[in-house]
Amino acid sequence: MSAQTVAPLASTGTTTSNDEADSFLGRWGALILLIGFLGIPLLALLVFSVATAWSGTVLPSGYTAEHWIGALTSSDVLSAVGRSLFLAVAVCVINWILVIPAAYVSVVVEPRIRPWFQALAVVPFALPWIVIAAGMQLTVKEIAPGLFGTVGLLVLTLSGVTFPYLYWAVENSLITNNAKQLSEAARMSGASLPRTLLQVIVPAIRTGVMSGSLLTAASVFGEFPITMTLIGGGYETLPLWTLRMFSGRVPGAGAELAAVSFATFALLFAVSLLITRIDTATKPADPVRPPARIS
Amino acid sequence: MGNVSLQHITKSYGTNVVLDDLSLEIGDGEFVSLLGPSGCGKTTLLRTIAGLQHFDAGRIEVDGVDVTDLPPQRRGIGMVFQQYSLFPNMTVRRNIAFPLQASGMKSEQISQRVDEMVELVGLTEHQHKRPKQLSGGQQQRVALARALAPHPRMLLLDEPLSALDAQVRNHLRDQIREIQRKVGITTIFVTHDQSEAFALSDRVVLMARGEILQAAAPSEIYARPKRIEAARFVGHRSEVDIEARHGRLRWGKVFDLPSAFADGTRVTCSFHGERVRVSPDPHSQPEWARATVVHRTYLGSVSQLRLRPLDSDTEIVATVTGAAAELIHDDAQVALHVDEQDVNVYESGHLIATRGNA
Repeated sequence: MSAQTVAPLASTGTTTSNDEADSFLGRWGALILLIGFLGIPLLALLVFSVATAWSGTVLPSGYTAEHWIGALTSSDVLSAVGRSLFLAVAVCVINWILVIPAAYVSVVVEPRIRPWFQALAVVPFALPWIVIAAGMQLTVKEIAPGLFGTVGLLVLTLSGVTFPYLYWAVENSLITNNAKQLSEAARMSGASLPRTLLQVIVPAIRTGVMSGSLLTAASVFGEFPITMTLIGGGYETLPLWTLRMFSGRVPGAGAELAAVSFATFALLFAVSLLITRIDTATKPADPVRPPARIS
Repeated sequence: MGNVSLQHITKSYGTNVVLDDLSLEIGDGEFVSLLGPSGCGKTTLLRTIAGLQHFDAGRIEVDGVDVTDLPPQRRGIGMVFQQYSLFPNMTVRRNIAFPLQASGMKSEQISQRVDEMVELVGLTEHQHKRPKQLSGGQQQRVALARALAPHPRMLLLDEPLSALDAQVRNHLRDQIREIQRKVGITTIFVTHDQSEAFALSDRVVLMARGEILQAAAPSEIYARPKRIEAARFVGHRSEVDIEARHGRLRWGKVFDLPSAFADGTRVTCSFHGERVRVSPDPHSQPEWARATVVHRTYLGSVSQLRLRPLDSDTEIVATVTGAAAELIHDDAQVALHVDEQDVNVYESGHLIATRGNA
């Protein structure tokens, strides 16, 4: 055998300090940047909402819960939150009823119509919402004058402009969960269409439904041009209250506004976290417990 | 009961004929495999029987009842899909209970039936797990239990083993056959794997281009494929074009068989690779043909040889076992012979004679 010099492999499992540094930067650097970018304004908002006065200093001169108490006990704020919540829930329910079956049809039953639905779902992004609102107003005036200027029209219009959020999420979920095969398996198991949808398809795509609903609710919660156009200030939602606080230059309103804004953000963030947890928590039933009665 | 009658089933996509006037009768309790290459129409036919696929013309009867226009959920057919298709939000027990709930069965009966089914497929200890926590083989057993739970008239299996690794596949294959025999249910199994079809079936239906080439017992399909296309799909066969002369079909010293064809008639002779007798010593059998090994593929228990007889440009395939599988290498000289009873003779693509009675 001839003597051969075998070059050592470049990386054979030993980690250099450079690798560790790269890994640390890669893992934490992006996170720190993101937290800095998003977190610092939010922190400033929170601090402002509990500050007695904050001018000319790095930190406020004093802290108080007064603005939070004031905001959360204000009948104006509570009514506005109630209205916004009502709109968000009503729009979500309407979109569930209309969009989930439509997405199911486009993915499972008749894929040929899917491009049409997809094109339709782009319209609210292509047209300014205020134009859509004006269009709805003109249409309703002609064909259903009873709806003109009502909350019903507002709910319908908001459903129309926000449906793509739910549609895209549900369509994607249907495809990734092989809804066509699940549906066929359910039908071969003797299930009717409603049973298939309620017991098989919707539970399988629940993450998509929830994230789509969250996007819908969040956009309804923060929407004001359509509300202004269709109903006006008579139906004061949270964004309209915010607008009034800004334009009215009410003393101390800024801190209350900060408190309400932060509370809204915290609520949506909590719901978002909850959805993530539901998605990842596919916990099994205890495999050793005795057989459960199936009802 | 579970007699199936398929009558003149036709399905086209534009000019592409997927099922071409196809008729087939399947008896009660029979295990039939639809075998063929990809795109031959076997899955389309299975889905047609299930009611998941519309077709252009024809009629489907189950136990003498026309089910052509019945929706899938009212046909009383159980089906197992290639990708398991278990309901991810339900445990094993709830998956199996699903069709029973859909049929309106009482909860006590459901519980009892689910107990029977988890025991039948050997998943008692996994019955409270969700599909994601099971292996592929276990998931497919759940799918089988779910399909069998409501006592269907017939069971359809759409390539249920193709997503599994080899060891699990063989185990589940045997288990499917055992369960089918125990339950006695009419079963239609779709596969492109001939060894699966042969191992499981009472009868194999060989398909190509939307038509049935042959429907027969596995041994019959293997030994005597009626069409040359069928012969090309089943096993590892070699084909040689021969002209009949003086009442014989002769290819050098490789084979020589009697023939009833008129002189000058051109026929195709076909034989299986394992029927080619090969000797590593080219001089050991003077009456055999001598050939060169063009290429050897070593497969462990066997070796597959591409051989070219010395006086011919035609290559044939031989499968050798034992010492020959080890000894014979590329470019080696060997002696070879095919017995006349192992040669099938085809004229115009149709089997004319076999076992030397040409």
